[in-house]
Amino acid sequence: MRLPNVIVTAVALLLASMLAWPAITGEGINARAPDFTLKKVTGENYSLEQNLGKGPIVLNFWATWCGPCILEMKNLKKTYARYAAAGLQMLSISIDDNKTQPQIPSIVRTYKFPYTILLDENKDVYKAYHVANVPQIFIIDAQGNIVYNHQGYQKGDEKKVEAIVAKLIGDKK
Amino acid sequence: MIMRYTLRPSDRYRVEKRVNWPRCAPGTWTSGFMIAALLTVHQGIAAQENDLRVSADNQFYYAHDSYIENEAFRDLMEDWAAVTLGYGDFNANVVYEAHLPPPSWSQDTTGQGIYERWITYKHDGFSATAGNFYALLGKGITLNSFRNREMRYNSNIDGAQFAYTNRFCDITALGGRPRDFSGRRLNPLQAAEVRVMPAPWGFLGGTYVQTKLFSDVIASRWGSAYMQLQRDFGSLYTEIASRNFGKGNNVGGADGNLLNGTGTAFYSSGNLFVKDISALVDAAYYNNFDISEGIAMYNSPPPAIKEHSNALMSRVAPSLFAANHTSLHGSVTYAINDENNVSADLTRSRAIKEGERGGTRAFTHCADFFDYTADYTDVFLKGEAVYPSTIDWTLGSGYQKTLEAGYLNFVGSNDWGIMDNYSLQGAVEHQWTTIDLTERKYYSQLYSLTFARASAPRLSLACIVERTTDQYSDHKFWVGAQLNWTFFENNEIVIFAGQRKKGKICSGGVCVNKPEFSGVEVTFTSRL
Repeated sequence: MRLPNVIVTAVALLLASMLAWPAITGEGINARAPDFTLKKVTGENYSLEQNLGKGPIVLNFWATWCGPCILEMKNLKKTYARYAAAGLQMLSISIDDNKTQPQIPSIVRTYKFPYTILLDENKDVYKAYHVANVPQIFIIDAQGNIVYNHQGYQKGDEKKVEAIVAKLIGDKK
Repeated sequence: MIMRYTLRPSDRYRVEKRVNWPRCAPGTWTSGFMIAALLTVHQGIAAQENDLRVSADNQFYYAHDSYIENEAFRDLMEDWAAVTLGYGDFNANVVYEAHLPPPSWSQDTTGQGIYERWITYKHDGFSATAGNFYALLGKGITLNSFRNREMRYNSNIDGAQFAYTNRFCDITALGGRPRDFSGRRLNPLQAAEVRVMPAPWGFLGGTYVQTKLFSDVIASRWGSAYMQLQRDFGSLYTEIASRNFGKGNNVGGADGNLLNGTGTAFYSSGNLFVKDISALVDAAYYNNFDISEGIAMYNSPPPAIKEHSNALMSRVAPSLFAANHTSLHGSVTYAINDENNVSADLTRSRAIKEGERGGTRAFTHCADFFDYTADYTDVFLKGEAVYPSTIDWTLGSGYQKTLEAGYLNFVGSNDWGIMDNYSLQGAVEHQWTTIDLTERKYYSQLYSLTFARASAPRLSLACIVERTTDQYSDHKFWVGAQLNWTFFENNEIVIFAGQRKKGKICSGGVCVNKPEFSGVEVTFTSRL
């Protein structure tokens, strides 16, 4: 196989992005969370900016056809129950398109998800947060900074989320 | 679910006539280093005040497929790099892509360049976008342009979009030229949507689309009216749409052009909750309602059909689009408690036959094919349970019937949390197939076993085995392994090695037929 320059270009992109990773990824990245306004599954608007300042926000991207997403949301219910009174908000942004969206209310009801369910049909917020695959979870502090983000879900991931939320709630107190 | 005749990368090799791969065209390094520089300087920008925001993602894909006969075409490389620059209320986005070799369907012979760019302004409920954008009006019955990178599907519109939203109404207006798969700009399209929310428990609205996509002289138009009611005990959405309204029941078109004929569409979905029981019913009827140009479609309404996440069942489900079909789907779920539930689904779809509306049916060139695929019945029962507390179980059984065959399926999977940060997932799928005409019988099986670690270094290793007893299958056994490794939280490498059976793969309602594969695939995704 001949190695055309386009491959070299792509490799250059990768190397360049690797240089920037340590400063801006993972915990403590302190990047500003992109603001958004989305429709709730119930039809009302939800604005991120108008809900900052009340406490940490756990924001997860999910879809009805995504098994790991459902599992993650099931396993985060305890965290939400523990810290909701202290100001924790949990936003579950569905990227379901028009074909699978009708299943959302049924799934929320079946699993008794207590979260604020938002619809991102055009994937505008999905793109703004540069999400490539679901599930992906972000933790936003009360000031609107992303302090943690993580793609995928394996059992046990929820413990890391809870630890960060606990720390943010503790800091607030 | 719709079927896009999108070609998988290795398919392109089979149809690609051009053998001279692109050399470095002027601007290659310019484009590449512009993006590379943006990514690199982000370190410095991140430390500054929030006036200027930068974010980016990059996805690199490489595959070597030894099932492709011509050795020269066995390697494929693709890269997508998206960069967002934000300042105040403005956001500018650029998407750089490289495809090697260039897609066979593209007029672009370099296979690389800036494929999308747009700028947005948002302030106090008002937003304006110029450049490439995607649009969804209503439920997508009249307009739905979107992108699915995995499926290589992209129906963006090049133009401008304006939107205003407040507590009581949403207004959207847009105009532009849709692009087809070859990158060619089509005739202009204009559209608008108004939604009014007089009360928290409901809204109503309407959409309008007009275009001369099919004719430089005659504009075709689509319009719809919809409403949604939302209460604690359930919800109901209904949309009714018409194509070329005001022309009577003239499916064939006044000028004899089928594409200028009339059409009708109806879609409704409702949820009902009674204690721990959730019921969902959705119904769809689409008659001569496509907005399509070649293989690209600019409306993509929801069919009423059960979408399966299980591989074998998903391959059997039909691909429905907005031309001529009607479908009905019902689902009932009983939540025994927070962790255990049982559900049942029933789907029935069929093609709208010639003459059922008293006129000539459009898209007769593919009517036979569509009649053949749209007649479909699907029954699926599923149960989910947690037992003991560390293992999630899913068991299901389904029967699918097409015009040519019947499929009886059993699926089972579990996810077992072992120790604090480790899990073991297993899945088994079994499918009996009976071909009606010949009474030929065979079965297919899929097994997968995944070991995952949740703490750093975060990784999972999966082994997937498929087999079939189908005597007409070229191969009877496929085995592959996949490693997913996530590092620095935002970056993931996925390496697949081995064989993969051909078949339909669906993601988010878009499906593609992937050919058989044998070799290595590497996908590297990073986000900033």
